[in-house]
Amino acid sequence: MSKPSDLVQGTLDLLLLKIVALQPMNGWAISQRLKQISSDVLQVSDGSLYPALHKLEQEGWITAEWKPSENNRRAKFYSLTKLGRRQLEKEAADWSRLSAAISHVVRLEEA
Amino acid sequence: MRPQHWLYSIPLRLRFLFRRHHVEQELNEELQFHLERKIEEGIASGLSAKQARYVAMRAIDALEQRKEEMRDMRRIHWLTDFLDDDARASRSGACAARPESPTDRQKNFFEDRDGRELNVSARQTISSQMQFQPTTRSRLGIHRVCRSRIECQREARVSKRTQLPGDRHVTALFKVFCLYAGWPPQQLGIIYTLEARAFDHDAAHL
Repeated sequence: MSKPSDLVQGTLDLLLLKIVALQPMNGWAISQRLKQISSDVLQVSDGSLYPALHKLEQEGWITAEWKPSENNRRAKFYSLTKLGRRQLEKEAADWSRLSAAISHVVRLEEA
Repeated sequence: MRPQHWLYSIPLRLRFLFRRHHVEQELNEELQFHLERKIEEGIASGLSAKQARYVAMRAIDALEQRKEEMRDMRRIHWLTDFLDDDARASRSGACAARPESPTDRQKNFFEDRDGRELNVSARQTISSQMQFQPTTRSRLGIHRVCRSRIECQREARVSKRTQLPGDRHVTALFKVFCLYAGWPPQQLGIIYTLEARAFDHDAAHL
């Protein structure tokens, strides 16, 4: 699977779960929202987004439903499942622990 | 595996299995939707329609490969490939009403599209292409690269004959078992072994 170049490895699932937790969204809206929230810092390449979404769906963390989009075109909307919410909490906690540890190391004063 | 996981994944896998054409259509539709939004965005930013389409296609680089990755995520494509191959082999088998003699088989195998017999160098080229080449779609090796009518014919004959030794049935049952046990089948060397054995058996008799 192609790796997203601008994301820390292993964080894509967490980001997608978090975005989908806000409200049900289609793939296009998810990528736009992620760019918008992170002020263009985080960008998921289009080629990585859909395989990742399908993986999350397969894991049972998100579920998909076909609905009309804002321009009345049929689109696949993803929403978080109960299982996904639990996974999100777990991954968010892991990320907090990891980022705190990394910050701690980076801020060490040189002798 | 947790039971909640199966609550979501079993209906999905059954859907991939029994409504796979519909699922394929949805996959195309989903990517098409994204592509169109991307083109609209490009046009809005001042690109021509042609340029916008080019940029959008570049963004979803190697579209077919992406689709393949999405199919991989279903963890069931090996079974759908297997069913597709089986159906294709049955169709090809039904067309060949008359059993072929080894001489006929050799003769048909080295015919071109128009039925003319190929010369020695063409035969050598084809023989070199006949190597076992699993596609990315099927790491289990059931779905083989099929470049020409000659290879299609050969594949049909191989699929048909591999039913005889019983390996194919064992493999199929084993795969179904793996599916429900949740094992990633591509990691199970036994399937490779069974299929490689069936393939060697067929190759030896060509």
